Amino acid sequence: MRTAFIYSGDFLKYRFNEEHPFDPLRLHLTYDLLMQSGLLRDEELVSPRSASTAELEAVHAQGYIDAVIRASRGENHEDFAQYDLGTEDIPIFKDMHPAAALAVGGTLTAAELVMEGRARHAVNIAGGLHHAQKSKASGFCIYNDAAVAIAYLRDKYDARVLYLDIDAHHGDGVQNIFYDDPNVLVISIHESGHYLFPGTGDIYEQGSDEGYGYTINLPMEPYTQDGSFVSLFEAVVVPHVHAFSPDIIISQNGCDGHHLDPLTHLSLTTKGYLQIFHLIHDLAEQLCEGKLVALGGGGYNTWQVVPRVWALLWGQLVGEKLDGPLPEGWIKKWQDISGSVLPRFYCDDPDLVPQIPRRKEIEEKNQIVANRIMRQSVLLL
Amino acid sequence: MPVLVEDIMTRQVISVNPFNTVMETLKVAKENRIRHIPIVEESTLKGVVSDRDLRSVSPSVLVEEDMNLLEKTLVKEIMITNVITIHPLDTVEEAARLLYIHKIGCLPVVTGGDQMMGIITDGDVLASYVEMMGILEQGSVIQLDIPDRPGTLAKVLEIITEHGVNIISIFMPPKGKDNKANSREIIIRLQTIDPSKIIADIKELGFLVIWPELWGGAK
Repeated sequence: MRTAFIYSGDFLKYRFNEEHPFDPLRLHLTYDLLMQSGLLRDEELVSPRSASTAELEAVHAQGYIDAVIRASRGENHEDFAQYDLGTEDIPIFKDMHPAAALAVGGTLTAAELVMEGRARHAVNIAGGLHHAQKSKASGFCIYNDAAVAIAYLRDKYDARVLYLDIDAHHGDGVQNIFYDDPNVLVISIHESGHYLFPGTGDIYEQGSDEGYGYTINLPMEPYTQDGSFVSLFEAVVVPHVHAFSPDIIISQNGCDGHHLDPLTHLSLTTKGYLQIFHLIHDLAEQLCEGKLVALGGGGYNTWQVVPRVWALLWGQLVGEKLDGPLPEGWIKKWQDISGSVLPRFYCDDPDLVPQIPRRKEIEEKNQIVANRIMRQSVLLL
Repeated sequence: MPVLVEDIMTRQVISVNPFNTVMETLKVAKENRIRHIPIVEESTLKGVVSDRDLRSVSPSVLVEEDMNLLEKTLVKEIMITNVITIHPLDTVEEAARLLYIHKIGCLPVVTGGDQMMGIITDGDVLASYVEMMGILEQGSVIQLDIPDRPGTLAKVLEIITEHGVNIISIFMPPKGKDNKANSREIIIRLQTIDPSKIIADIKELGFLVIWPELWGGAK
C-alpha cells in the first residue's frame, strides 16, 4: 500500500459540545469528500487502534491521565482545574478519555504502518493535537498524539524524527515535550504569538541543553499570504531539514491559516497549502524513503476550508492533481445542512484572494525574521 | 510580580575597599564582567566607580605611560562620592525613574543613608519589566480602545466573565498627554484559543478592537 488513511467513525466522538468551534464533523466531511471523489480506495483505509495508558505516559503525567479518565466517567473533582479540564476551551464530556486515546492511537497506527514498510505514507486527520502539555489540556487538545508517537518512534525504532508543524498556532506542546532532545527536530511555522494563542513560538525559543538548536520557530506576521509563507518555508525549513536528515517526518497540517478561518489572521489560500504539501512530500521522498505521517490539526472553517485543504493533502500524497470541481454529490449532500455557501472547486479562485493593505511591510518583516533565524541557526554550522 | 527594589536587587554585591588601588578595581570589574563597583568600608557605602571612570584614568594603549600610576592611585581618589542611592522598600518604578532621569546605570540599595543592602542595575529593571509583560501562560491577546468613562472596563470584564474565560493579565497604560480622543487602550491576555465570541460581543458594545483586525481590513 502506498498511502494509508487512518479513519473510524469513532473519531467523531471527540466532541466537546454543540457550540464548540472544534467540530469533528470536519473529519467526516473530508472522508466523505475523498470517498465521493474516488480518491480514497477501500484498501487504503485502516482502522485506528487505541493508545494504551502506558503509551500516553511516555509524555503525559500519570496524575493528568488519571484526571482525564475520572472526568471521562462523568465524575467531578476539585483537582480538574489544575489540569485545565472543564474550561471554555476544554469542556469535560462523557467518554473523553477513549475519544482522545483513539486520536492518539490513530497516529500510532500511522507511525507503525510507515516504519514497518506497510505504507509509504500514512494520514491521520484526527491527529495533530499539538497544544496538549505534559500535565495539562490546552487549546482543544487533550492528549498530544504527535508527541506520543514521537516518543514511541524514539523508543521502539530509535528513529531521528522531524516534527513539522504548519498550523497557524504555535506547536507549543510538542516543542515543550522534546525541548532538550537532539534526536527530534521540532519546526513550527505559525502566526506570530504577539496576539494569537498560545503566545509562544518566538525565534529565540531554540531548545535547551543537548537539544539546543533542535527547535526552530518561524513566527509570521498576521495577514501573511501564500508567497511570503511558501518562500520562507523554502528558505528556512528546507535547508534545516536537509541538515538534520531525519528517518521519518511527522507533519501537522492544521489548515487554520486559510484566510477564511475564523480564529487566526493568516491569509493563505489553497495555492499556498498545495505548494507546502508538495515541499513536505518532496522532503520525505528525498531524505527518508517517503516515510511520512501526515496529521490534521487546527481548522475552524468546517465547511468551506477543511475538507478541501485536507483533500489536497491526500491528493498530493497519492499523486492526484486536484484542480477541478468538487463532486456534485458531495455538494448536494451537505449544502442544506451546512447553512453556508459551499465552494464548488478544490482550489480557491485566484481572483478572490484578499487584498492586504500592508502587504509589503508584512513580507519585509517576515524576511527579517527569516534572516535572523538563519543567522542564529546552530544546525547549519 | 516584583514591585519593590528588594524583590529584584542583587544582594551579594561585588565591591572594593576605598584603599584598593585603581588597578585592583579594574581587575575586579574585568573578572566579574560588571560595569559598576561600589566602594564599601565595613558595609558603609563610600562611593561608586563605573567602568567609564576607570577607563578615563587608564593610560592609553597607544602611548607608553607609567602603568605604576594605576598601582599607586587609590580608588578613593577617583570615586564618585555624591552617589544616588535607593531604599529596599522603594518601588521598581522609582528605580526605573531614577536610572532614566539621571542617565546612570546602577543604584546602590542602602538603609540608614549609607548601609549597603544590595545593588540594582538598569538591566535588572529592564528584566523585571520584560517578565511583567511576558508570556507565562498560554493565551490570546486582544487590544481594545474603550471610552474613558467610569464603568467601561467593567463592561468589558463582564463580557469576558459571561464567556467563562480566565484573564491572564491586563495592561492599561495611563492616558497619554496627546490623547484627545477621550479613549483608553487596554491589552488583555485571555486564557483561551478562541477569543472570537468575546471580540464580537465587545464590538457590539461599540468598542474598538484595534489589533490585529485593523491590519487586514474586516474579516
